Amino acid sequence: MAAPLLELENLSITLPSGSGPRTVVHSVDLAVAPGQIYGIAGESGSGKTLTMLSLLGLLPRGGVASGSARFDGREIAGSRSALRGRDISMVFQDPMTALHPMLTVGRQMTEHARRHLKLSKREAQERAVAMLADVRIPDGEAALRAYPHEFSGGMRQRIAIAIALMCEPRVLIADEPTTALDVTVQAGILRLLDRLRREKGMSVVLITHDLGVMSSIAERMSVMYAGRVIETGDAGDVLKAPAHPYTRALLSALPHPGAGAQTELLSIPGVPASPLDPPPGCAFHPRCPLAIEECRMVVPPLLTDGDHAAACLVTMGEKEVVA
Amino acid sequence: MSAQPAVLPPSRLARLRRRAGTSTGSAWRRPTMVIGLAIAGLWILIAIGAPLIEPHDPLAQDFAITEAPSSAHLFGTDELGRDILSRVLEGARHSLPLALLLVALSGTIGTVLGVVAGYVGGWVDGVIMRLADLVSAFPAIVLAMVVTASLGPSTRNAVLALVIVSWPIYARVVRSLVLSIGQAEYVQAFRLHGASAGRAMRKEVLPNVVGPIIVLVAIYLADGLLLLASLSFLGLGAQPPTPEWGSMVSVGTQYFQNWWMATFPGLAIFTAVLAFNFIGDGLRDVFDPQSSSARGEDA
Amino acid sequence: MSDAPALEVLDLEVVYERRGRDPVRAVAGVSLSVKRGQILGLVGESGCGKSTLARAVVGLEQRAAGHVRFEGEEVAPLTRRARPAQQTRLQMVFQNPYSSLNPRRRIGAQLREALAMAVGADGRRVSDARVTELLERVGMPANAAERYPHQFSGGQRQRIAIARALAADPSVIVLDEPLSSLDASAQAQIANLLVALSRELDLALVLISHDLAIVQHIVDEVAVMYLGKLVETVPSGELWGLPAHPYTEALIGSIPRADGERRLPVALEGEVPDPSAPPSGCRFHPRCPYAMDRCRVEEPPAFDVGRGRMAACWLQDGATEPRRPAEAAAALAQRV
Repeated sequence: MAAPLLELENLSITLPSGSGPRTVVHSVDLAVAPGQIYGIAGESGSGKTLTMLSLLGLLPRGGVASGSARFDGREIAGSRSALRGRDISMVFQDPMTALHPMLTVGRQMTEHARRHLKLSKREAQERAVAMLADVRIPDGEAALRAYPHEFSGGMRQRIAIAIALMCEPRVLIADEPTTALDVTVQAGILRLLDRLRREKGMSVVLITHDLGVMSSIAERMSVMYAGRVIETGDAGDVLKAPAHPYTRALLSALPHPGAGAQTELLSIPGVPASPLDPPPGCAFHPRCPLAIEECRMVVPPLLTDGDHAAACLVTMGEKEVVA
Repeated sequence: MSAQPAVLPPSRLARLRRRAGTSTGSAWRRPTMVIGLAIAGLWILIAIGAPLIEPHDPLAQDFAITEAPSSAHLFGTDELGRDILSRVLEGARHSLPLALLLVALSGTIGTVLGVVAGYVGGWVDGVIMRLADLVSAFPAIVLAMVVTASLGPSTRNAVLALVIVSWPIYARVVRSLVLSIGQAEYVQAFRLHGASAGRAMRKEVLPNVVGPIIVLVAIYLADGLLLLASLSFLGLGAQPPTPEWGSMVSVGTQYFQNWWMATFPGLAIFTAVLAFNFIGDGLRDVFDPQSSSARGEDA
Repeated sequence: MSDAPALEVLDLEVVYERRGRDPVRAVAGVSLSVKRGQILGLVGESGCGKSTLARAVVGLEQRAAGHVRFEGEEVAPLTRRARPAQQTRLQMVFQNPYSSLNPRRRIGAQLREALAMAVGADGRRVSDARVTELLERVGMPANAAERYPHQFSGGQRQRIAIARALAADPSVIVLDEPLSSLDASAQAQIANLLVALSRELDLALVLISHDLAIVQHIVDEVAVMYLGKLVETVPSGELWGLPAHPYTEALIGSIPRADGERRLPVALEGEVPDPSAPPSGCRFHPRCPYAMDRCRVEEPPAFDVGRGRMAACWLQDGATEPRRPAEAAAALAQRV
């Protein structure tokens, strides 16, 4: 594999709370190659968003990141980096609130590009029209003069992606970019992300709870639970042969197409563990059908026999610890 | 069918409560509200017990005129030889109950009109709102001045004038609450169970209107105090020899070199108004925990 | 399960006036029916009018045209007066569990009131036992009655909202996107609850959703809605294998599968048109991969394609069995 473009090593994040700083993200390791789509899966509260926010210096007030985060070899952990918006860009979940309602689309698109890239107003506008064409928004000139409320949710998300692309970022972080969108619109956005990745060689970090979305475009993925990475590997491998009981449970809880009328949906018993107050040992053990005595006593490390790793003593018991 | 127990871990509970409901705990942790309650409490005690604690008869013109504050007269004496401390304390018995009366009357009238406007709608709503607009078009003090000047300056007319001027704010807020809560899904669900619109109003809408009204009342109590004092300052409210703070300040401005004559009544107005403002802020946080000042504590 | 439908909707239309702009026919003529013990899923994307339809069916919106019949009686929109007692057995569960319960009243009080209104008795005479029974029926513990809504999670609140609907002893419940605000495990649990309740209590359910994958698990029949009209109705078992309408086909194709094969979902061309200015002829034609000349000019009727299915598409003209759109289009092309 080529040298990773974005690498997280032992990244931990603490947040202030009523009873002092609490670790909410524990020792995350991640490596995203150039031009790769990397997926981070997990339910809400798993720490997936916080992990990425720390790269952009967007942690909540009082949040502290430790460990190492390297972009193109350079250390960027915890800093309010100048990379934000330029080399690393982010798109968020809700397209309805992602854009400033009182500014024209053109103004929002050109504003930070002019600052970061020192472009003139005209140059920035030309670039903006080109970006809008890239995301398949028709009639870019008119779109620049329009306001966000004149566009549908799907189009606003495309505009948000176009804004994120203005400075030709090498990594685009997309946090649940399609969750608020209809399924046909979602399909369009996913195809867009894939095409952009191919055309521009851009890496995409896709954060989502939807394993179907993950399966469609991610090449590699990590699954997070209660602030830790509990499974990682090639996306196809993880989804076809999940090693961690949580991943298996998530997959079997998905509705099965063609299941027919009134078939019971499986769900994982209990509630997702909170990273602020996780169970002892393996955070998933209270809900795990395979849990044994040891699961309560020790936090399992990531174990692997090659590329695919999972933090489970039961399913990966014989394997090596990931270095 | 797997059932979920209703008990959530405390941290999650606290987060949910902050997000969606009232947060009774946080009001008491706000220092300004505590200060406000303390000062207001003090003034209320003074208002009740003034005859017992004032050192002299507030109306007695027995002393040397315009004497500076001394151990005999802590706040000095005024131009007619009355003890200012006693007058300031007595003033509380005058101003506070009037402000409360003002708020009670305007609040009640405004709320009733607001409910009618919101519930009945149509032309009734239109008429009430236009009346409200008409009244609000004038600066409160100007309109109050006009009313008291035409009716004759007196305490009673000052209160009347201020009631006329103050009801629109309650009416507007209540009407808008009635309309928006009326659209709330839980009210619609209530209607679907067979409640008439009137019953839904009584049982679901009005109880949810009470909270914001309480906040308004607390805040406008401060406003009312200030307006009453202003009218008296202009000679349109309480008439001499009534020891009303506003008129005391007014007289004091004619005796600028005797700074104590205006300053102490002025401080009384200042502290009382501030206290009620703090209380109003605190109450607003109790009833509307999503407001940014309440959220300031959480990361 | 009796044979007469518990709920019948005939050619329902709902129109919104807008200031200074054209009125919007949010629902442009929808007909459907549900029997007791049956679950109907109404599926469509944003702007198709499904929520408006749900509200109009229970009487929360005014109708511009058409009829709604509940147990044989005409359902009129709500006025200031109380709803007729018989119609309180047509109930609704709303989408947002955070706004559908009164935040200032305890759960027990709200359920008690709902129970009291159903039997027409004074609220105080409703026993604690009945409130507990309701709560347990939806999988909540009895002590939930003492708490306020904000003390519960989204999934739990939705259970409470269902309990409130059940308090009226309904025969039909319309549920407007009951699962959309919930996380995945809560969705599964509530979905299973609804199926169980329908069976136990012989309830007719109309489940509105944009999530075809989940809905298809729960319901007996799926009705697909686009831009104010129904384009297809199909038993859920047949939906995945043989959609008859091109829009349904596109919907199914755009659902991503978690199978580990990196396969991009099929995207549908274009955007949903403005409902105040729908396309001429078939509303779906600008985005339809099989659109023919006729589609641009004439709106297709609801064809009965056999096996209890309906599809509003010219490709199904004359069909006695549902035709796969791609095959039907190819066959037509060859004939020309």
